[in-house]
Amino acid sequence: MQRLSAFSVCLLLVTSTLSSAQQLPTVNKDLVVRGVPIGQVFEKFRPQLAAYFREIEAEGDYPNYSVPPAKAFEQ
Amino acid sequence: MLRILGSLASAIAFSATTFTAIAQDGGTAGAVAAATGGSAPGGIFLRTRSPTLPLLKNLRFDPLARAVSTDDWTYILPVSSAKAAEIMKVVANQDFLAADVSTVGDAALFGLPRNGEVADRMLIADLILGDIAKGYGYFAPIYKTAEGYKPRQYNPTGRQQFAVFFVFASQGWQVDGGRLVSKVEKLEVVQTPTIRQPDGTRRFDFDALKRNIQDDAIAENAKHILAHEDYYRRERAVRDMQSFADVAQLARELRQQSVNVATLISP
Repeated sequence: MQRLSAFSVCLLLVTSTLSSAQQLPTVNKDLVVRGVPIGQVFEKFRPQLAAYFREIEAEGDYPNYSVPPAKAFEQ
Repeated sequence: MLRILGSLASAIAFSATTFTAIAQDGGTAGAVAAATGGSAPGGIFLRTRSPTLPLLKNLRFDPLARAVSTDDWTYILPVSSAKAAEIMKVVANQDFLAADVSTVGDAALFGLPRNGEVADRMLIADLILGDIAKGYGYFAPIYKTAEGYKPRQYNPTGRQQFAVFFVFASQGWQVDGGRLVSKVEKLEVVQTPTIRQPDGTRRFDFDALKRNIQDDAIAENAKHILAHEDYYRRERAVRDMQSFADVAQLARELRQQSVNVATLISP
């Protein structure tokens, strides 16, 4: 019974971690403005943006973001 | 055929005249047009001004302190030595730095090394500020604009196309307790009518520029950015643009006094 409870707690933790990660908003990768695939233009710079977001998130220097930007961006 | 050639010749003559007029008007668009030969009128533009530092006495660079010093002052580089070296190498040959994300997602870099740290950071600043200025909203789900502002969306399929450039510069120097410090120039956000080229790059639309045609959405968004300049300067990529502009200004000052800025700093 105790073993089952421990398993349930672990399962609950994993599920809640996954669901909270899924709840982070992310950038508009598929953004289309009047038929123009604008998101694709930004996505061409994904490696540079990812590196930048990792840098500012690691140093806690992202006052203008509503969420940790690297975690949100890399979803 | 002759008529077509005649029209083409007139068009070229018109563009050349207008280009010269714009380049000579002393305005920001003129400075960018002159520097870039009329191309890539969007993105980040780091402008330098005429040198003002007095004669340098005993110039040296201390890599450990990341400091450029003379007998009169010490300037602590606001960026890594590697980035400063990249900037100085470019300013050895020209008075500006520019980077522009084109409409097809390529980048025009004007002498900056592709894949260099400086170019990368300039493109990031262009993407973030440009997204707000054109109101596209790529970053909107994770980015907080000042006072919750909702940018107006620019129409990229409109009859007249526009580019936006963000100009950073150093306003002047002051020596404070032996430290040379740059005074920050106010940010400029300038929109320019453009003509898209077949390769995705853009050129000034001189005719539209002469008629002072503007895009209302960009004008409103630019006004917002300028009214909240301090807020947007909290973004690291934007702060870095000011640091790059300051180093570029120093490079121009040193170059003016015959310093070989391309080799002064070794990372």
